[in-house]
Amino acid sequence: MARKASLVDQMRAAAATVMPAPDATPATLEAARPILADAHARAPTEAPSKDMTTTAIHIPRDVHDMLRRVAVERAVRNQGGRPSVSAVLTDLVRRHWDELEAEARR
Amino acid sequence: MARIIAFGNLKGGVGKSTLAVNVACELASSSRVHLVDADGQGTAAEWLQAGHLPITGESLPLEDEQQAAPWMRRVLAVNVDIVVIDLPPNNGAATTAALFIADIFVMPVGPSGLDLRAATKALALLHEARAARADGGKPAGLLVPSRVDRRTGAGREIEAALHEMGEPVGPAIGLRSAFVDSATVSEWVGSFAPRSVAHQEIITLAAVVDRITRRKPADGPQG
Repeated sequence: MARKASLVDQMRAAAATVMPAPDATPATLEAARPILADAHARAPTEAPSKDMTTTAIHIPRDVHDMLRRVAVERAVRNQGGRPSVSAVLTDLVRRHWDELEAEARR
Repeated sequence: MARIIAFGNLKGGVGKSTLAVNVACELASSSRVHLVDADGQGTAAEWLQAGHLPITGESLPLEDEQQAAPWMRRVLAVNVDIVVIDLPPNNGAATTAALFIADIFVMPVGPSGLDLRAATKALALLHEARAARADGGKPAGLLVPSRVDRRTGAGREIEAALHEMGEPVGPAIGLRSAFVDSATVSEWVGSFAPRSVAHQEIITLAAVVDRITRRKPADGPQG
């Protein structure tokens, strides 16, 4: 504890030799509040998901690149929505559901 | 004089370098930004060395307190709009010196008891430096919930825990593979995964940091 106080004192002395005169622009807690309230309101949110699972898949890089390109394009078309490789993959599987199910039954 | 944004905490692995680099790159879309890597590990400097980031930077560790004045002078002399400092995970010379020249001290805090305890100690140091500075009130503090996984109880509760610490709490940064993947290839999320959630989180955090450091007393109420 004594060392920390001493270090602060040393830095205060060092700062006094290099810092310009105070420009009186402290950003205080009160000043930050409206900015933060605005930021929290705009922050990207994720709805809690049910009936979902998170996993990892090991796929060729070019396949992943293609999924990502499609995801980004779809996000752009939706005016800045979230690019989701998982959503593209899900869409592909849904489109081929019957044939995949038939294969799974064999 | 450049605005100075310091990223620090007394614990490692909370995302200091990740957030420092990504926020610096996001701010570079509208400002000239220089990154000072004050951590002897040199993570941010190494990231920068690959040449894929839209910012300048240098490795500038400070371990000897006797060198504090030249270190501060060098940081203050960088001719850019914004200097971002990535600090080491301790309360040594670099962190303390940065608290005397920074406009804002951004503290990423992970969702664990150990992280929260380290944040409490970092806040004590921030308050001590703030009281000792000639320009009272600086640096502003910003606690940032980092590596948040909202599927876990700890991830959901961290923001509430941080709000109890008495400093402003910034927008949360999720535990996302885009951060890891972009760092692996020495890119930042804005170039590696533009418009991803990770990028949106960085945009939001950078906007908050930018607005707080631009804020003048006449712009709003003062505490």
